[in-house]
Amino acid sequence: MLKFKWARGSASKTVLGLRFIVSGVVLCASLFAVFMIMLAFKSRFTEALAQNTLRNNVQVGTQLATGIEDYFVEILSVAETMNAVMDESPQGLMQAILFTTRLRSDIEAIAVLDRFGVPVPADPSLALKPDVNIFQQDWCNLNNLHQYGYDISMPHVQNLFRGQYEWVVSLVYLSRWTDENGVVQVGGILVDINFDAFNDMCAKAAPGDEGFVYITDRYGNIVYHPSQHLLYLGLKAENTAYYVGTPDGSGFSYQDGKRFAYSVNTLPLTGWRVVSIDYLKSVFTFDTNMQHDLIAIISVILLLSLAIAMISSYYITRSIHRLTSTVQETKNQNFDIHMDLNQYRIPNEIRELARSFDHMLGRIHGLVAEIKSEQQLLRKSELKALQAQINPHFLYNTLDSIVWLAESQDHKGVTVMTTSLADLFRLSISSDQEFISVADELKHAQSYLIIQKIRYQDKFDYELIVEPGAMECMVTRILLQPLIENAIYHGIQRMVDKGNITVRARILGKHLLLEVEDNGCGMSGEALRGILSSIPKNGSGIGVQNVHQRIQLLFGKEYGLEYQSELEAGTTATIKLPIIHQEKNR
Amino acid sequence: MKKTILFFSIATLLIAWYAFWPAKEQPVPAVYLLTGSGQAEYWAGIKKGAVAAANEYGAALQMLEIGSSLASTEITEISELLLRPHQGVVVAGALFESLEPILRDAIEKDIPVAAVDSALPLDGDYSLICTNNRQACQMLGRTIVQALDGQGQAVVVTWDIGGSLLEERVRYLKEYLEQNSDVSVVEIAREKGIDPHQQTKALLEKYPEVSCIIGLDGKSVAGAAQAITGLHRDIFLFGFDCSPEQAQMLEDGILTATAVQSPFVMGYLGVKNVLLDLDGQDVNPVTNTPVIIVNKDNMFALANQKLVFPFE
Repeated sequence: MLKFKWARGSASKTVLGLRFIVSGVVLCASLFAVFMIMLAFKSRFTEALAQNTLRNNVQVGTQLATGIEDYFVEILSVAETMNAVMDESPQGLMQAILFTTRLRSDIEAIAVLDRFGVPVPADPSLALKPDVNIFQQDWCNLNNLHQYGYDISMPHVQNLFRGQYEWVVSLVYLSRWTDENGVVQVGGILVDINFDAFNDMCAKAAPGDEGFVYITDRYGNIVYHPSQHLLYLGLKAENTAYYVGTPDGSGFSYQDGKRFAYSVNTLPLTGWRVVSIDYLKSVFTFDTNMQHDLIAIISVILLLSLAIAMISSYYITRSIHRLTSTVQETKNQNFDIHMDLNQYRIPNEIRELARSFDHMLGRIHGLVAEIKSEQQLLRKSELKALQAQINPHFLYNTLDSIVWLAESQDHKGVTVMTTSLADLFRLSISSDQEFISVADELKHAQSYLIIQKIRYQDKFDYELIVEPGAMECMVTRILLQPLIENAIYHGIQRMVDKGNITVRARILGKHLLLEVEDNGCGMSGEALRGILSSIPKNGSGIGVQNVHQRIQLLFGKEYGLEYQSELEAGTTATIKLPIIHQEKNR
Repeated sequence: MKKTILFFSIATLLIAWYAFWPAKEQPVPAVYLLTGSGQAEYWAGIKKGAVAAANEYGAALQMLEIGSSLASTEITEISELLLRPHQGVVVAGALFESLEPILRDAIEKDIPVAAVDSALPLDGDYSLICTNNRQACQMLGRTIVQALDGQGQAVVVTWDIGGSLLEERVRYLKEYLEQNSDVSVVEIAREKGIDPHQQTKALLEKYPEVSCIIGLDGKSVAGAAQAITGLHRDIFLFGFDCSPEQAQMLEDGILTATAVQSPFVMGYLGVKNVLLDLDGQDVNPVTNTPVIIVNKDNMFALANQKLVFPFE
């Protein structure tokens, strides 16, 4: 199953480390992919957005320029109309002026100027100031008037009428008309355009949220600006000089680190320049709501990436993890494991590895079984060899004794000896069982002691002492007989007096102890050391050594045979065995 | 596995909670503009400037006209309105004594305060936006000396300005005239609320040698103009500010010259300073606004008419 763990212990560090690496790589790869997509998206769309902004900006600038140009053409035609009215019917002029100013709210006032530029009273509702000369005003450009026949002023406060200080843009038109005497008169017509109306017309043109349009004269003086009041009062600044003298056109530029699209259009009638500016928005410039949504979307992408990373790393490392678990099991010498190759589908390399490992495990398991079987065979053969070693030697001596008894007409002795010999062989040869009870082993030992006692003509006495619990324990066969044989040959045989052999079976803690004690002549330290480790001189030691080896082979190094001996006092041989009950043996 | 499912469930819930929780909008800064109720033209200019600044910087502007005396309930209401976070206060004109504790509280609570036109008699951190009165009086004084040819008697009339502003203007004018000419200020009508027309007439009768009247505000100039019209005396009238009425007087030659300030600029900078302060930016403690002296000849000059006849 999917586990949200990256380290569980030294044993599985490699696998978990791999999962971590795979998850990390997948996560980084997905984040990198998202980042690259966003980057590509940004560069591609930023440029598209910029071009779009520029197009829009040019369109807005051009539309406004056209609109203003058309507007002044219209105002010029108003002046021309007034001129025509003066030419045809000077009496109708006042009506024409009244009619026009009332019809058009954008026209603040219309005045007729004499040849010196002084307004001629026409509209009695307006109190014309005396001593005003239009041609002498700062805002009236006489050069334009002579060159083009008209002049359109910068915004200014009109001071023609008492108590009125309106901001206007003035058109002064050079007029010619024929008076009632047929004399051609020269003068002017003044049309004042309400600056608020002009302002409203310009304010409608807005290229974008942050964009704006402003108009300057050919020298960079502001005609219209959305923040005109602030500019006039020095509360704001606009770099109008930047476009002075530049040809009409559009493009991109930077100001205060911000990139903007601009377009410049010159109005033919006035020479004014309409400058349209729009700051470029970054693709990633969002308002608060969009930022909020974007964070949520990125969080979802991150969470999905993490989930994909974990799932993919799980599938990639699962097989390796399983394989490692299997390898861990073999540490406990357990090679009898069958791997289910269906569990190793992804990736293919791990499947092949698992297949090879499974094959190897099979091979190892077979080899181990083979070795075990061979060891068992070896032990059996050793046992048989031992038995074979004991039997002929002993049989010869015993039969010799029986012959001797028979010759001396000791029938009872022959009977006892023959019966004991029969018991001895029955226990050692006829049974196939490796383990026998302590009772049987003692019986075997007793048969041997009876035979030897007869053979050695009562040179020793013997006794068997068994603790009640020890009788039911199981032991491997023929343990006591070699020890008794050793006690007789090395302890009793050389004694002048009658010897004594005691055989004991007792339980000490978790161990079963079998002891053979004699009061014979004892052994030197050297003889003691040699008895278990090296080949004894007279060959009888082979049996003792065999007993020790068999016990250790079967039960381990902590079990075996120990000798304690004192010269002229006697020897005790002790076999230490595990307690095995009959059920366990089965 | 359980831990993983738990982790992803919690993460999904958190994202869902975040996604459906409305985005926290940035609070719109609010500015309260406190103005007096007199001098309509002057307050209107300040209000227009304040509105322009609020629009420019995206702030909410609330305007309160404060009368000369306030009931205690009104003070409590104003106090509750003003002492809130994310907002500042612009006080225009002379100090309203009843507002003193509120403004002191506001300054102590680090609420940005800007004073327009007159300084507050309070210690503390606030920004002041005003005409440089010394400079304005020196410029007007120079014009007076030129017109009077360096000698004569002058009286000063006022209608609704008082306090530190009145004292400053009087002091700087007297200082300039005394140091640079023989023009002497014979009387200063400090008492507020007396009809300037009658006041001027009384002064002219009292001082037959007076050839110069200086009106410290629009209404006193109008009253003085009315008083001298039809008199067969050569009297020069000087003033402060320029309403369309005063502009007409300039054109008619009744008003010789006037010092034009820009209430629009004051209102604008007052709100701007408060907003900059709210934004944590440094604000100049004192900002001087432009002043020009206009007369009949230069009032329509392109540079001057921007200040004399502001856009509506």
